[in-house]
Amino acid sequence: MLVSFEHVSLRYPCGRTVLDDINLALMPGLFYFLTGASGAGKSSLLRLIYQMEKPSAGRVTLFDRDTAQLYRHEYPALRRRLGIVFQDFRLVPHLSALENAALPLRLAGAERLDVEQHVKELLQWVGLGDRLHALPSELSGGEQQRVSIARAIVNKPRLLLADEPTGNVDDESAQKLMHLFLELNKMGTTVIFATHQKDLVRRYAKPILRLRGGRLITAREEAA
Amino acid sequence: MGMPSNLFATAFSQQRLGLMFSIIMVLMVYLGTLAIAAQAVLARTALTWGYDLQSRLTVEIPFIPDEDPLLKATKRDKMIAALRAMPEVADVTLIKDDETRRLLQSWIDDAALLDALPLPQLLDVTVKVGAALEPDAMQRALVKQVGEAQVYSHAGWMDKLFGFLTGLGVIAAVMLVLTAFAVVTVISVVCRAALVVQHDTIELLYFMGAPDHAIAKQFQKHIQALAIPASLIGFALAVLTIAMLVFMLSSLGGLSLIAPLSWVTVGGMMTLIPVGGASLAIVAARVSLLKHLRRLG
Repeated sequence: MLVSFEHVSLRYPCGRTVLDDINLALMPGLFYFLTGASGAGKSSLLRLIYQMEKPSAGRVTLFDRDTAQLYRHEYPALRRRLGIVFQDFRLVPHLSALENAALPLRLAGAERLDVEQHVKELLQWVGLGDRLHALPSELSGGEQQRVSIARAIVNKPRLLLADEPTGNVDDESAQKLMHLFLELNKMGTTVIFATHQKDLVRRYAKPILRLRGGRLITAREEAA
Repeated sequence: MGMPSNLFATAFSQQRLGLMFSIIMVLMVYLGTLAIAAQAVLARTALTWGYDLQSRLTVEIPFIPDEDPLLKATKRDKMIAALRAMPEVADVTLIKDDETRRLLQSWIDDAALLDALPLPQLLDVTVKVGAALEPDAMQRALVKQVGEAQVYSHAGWMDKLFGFLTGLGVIAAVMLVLTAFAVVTVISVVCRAALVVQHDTIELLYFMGAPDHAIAKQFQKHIQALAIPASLIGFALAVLTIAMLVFMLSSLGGLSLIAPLSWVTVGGMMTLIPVGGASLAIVAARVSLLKHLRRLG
C-alpha cells in the first residue's frame, strides 16, 4: 500500500473540522483524481500526505510507515520520495527554469554535470528545451507549471501529488499538462491529481476520490 | 553539489536587513575592540603601579628657613644612614632638589616662584619584598634618631587608585560581555526576519526534502559573508581610534602614565575581537536559524 488513511480527521485549534473520518487506501501505479469544491479539504488531505499537517485523529500510513511514528529527521528522506506540484507553481523567482527544476537533485547532493544533463533532458521532455535560462517572470503560466512538474519529477518520485495544477492556466495549457501527468503515470508514477474542474475529471476514466465538507463520499452521494 | 548559493540572496537585501546587520556588527566589533584594549592596558597599569608603589615610601625632611646648608646636608645623610640601617629597607634614594622642581614645573611655570618655594628634602625608600614596615613606627624611629621627618606611605591612595583602575577594567569586561550579548540578540532578530522574508522558499525546500541543517547552512553563508567584512571594518576603525589616542596621549606627555606593556600582547588580544565576533555571529546564526526552523517545519 502506497498511502492509507484510517479514520483520519483534521481539526484546527479554532475548532473547525477540515477532514472528518477519512478512510482510503491508494494502490501504487494508479492515477487518482481528488475532487471537491473549494474548501472541501483537498489541499489538507495532500498536506497530510506530505507531512505538513498532523492528523488530529486516526492513522496515516505512507510507504508502509505509520507517519505518527516518524521522527523529525526522517521527514526529508520521506519527502524526497514524493513530488509535489502546486496551483501557484511556487518557483523561486530569481532562479532560472533550469535552476528551479534542478533544486531537488542539488538538495540530494547529485553531481553538477549529471544534474545539468538530466534536468535539460527533462525540461525538453516537458517542452521547455528552449527556455532553460528563462526566469519564472519571463514564462507563461503554463510554462511555469511545466517547470514545476519537471522539478516535482526530477527525483523520480514514487508518488506525485498535484494540487490544482491546472487551476491557473488556460484550457489548452491544461490539456498539455494533463497529458504530461498521464505520461508520467504510464511510466509507473502514482499520481494524485486534486482538482475542482469536473469536466476535466469526466474526460478520463480514472479512480476518483470525492470530498465534500471534509468527508469522502461515493459517486451516488455526489449525484444526490 | 549543494543548494544554489544565491537561493536566499534576497533575504538580506529586503528591508535592508544585511545593511542593518553589517552596521551593528561594525559598531559591536569597534566597541568590543576598544573595550578589550582598555581592559588590557588598565589591568597591566594597575598591576605595575600596585607592585611599584605599594613597596615604596617617601620620607620628607621639612624645610627650615635660613638653615645652614652644611647642617642640612649632615641631617640628610644621617637620615639616609638611619633608613639604610633598618632591616626592612632595601634601598634609599635621595630625590635631588632639581628633580623636585622638575616635578613641580607641570603645575608652576613661574621660575621665580618655583625658586622661592620652601622645598623639603625628599627620600625615596624601597621596602624589601614581604617586609612589614609601619610608616608611623618608621617616623617615630627617625624622629628619635635624627630629627623632624614625615613618612608618607603610597599604599593608602594607591589602594583607591588600584580600586578605580580595577573598576574601569571590570566595566570594560562587562562592556565586552554586553557587546557579545547584543551581537547574539541582533543576529537572532535578523535571522528570524530573514526566515520570514524567505518563508515560501523555505517551505518549498521542506517539500523537496531539505533538512533543517542544509537550509540553515545557506543562511549561515550569507551571515558569514556579511559578518567577516563588517568585523574587519570595525576592527580597523578601533585600531585607528587607539592609534589616535596613543598619539594624543604621547603629545601631551601622558604616555608614561600607562605601564610599559607589550603592544604585541595588546594587539593579539584586540585581534581576538574581530575573529571572535565573526565566529560568534556565525555560531549564533546557526543556533538561532535551527531554533526558528524547528518552529517553521
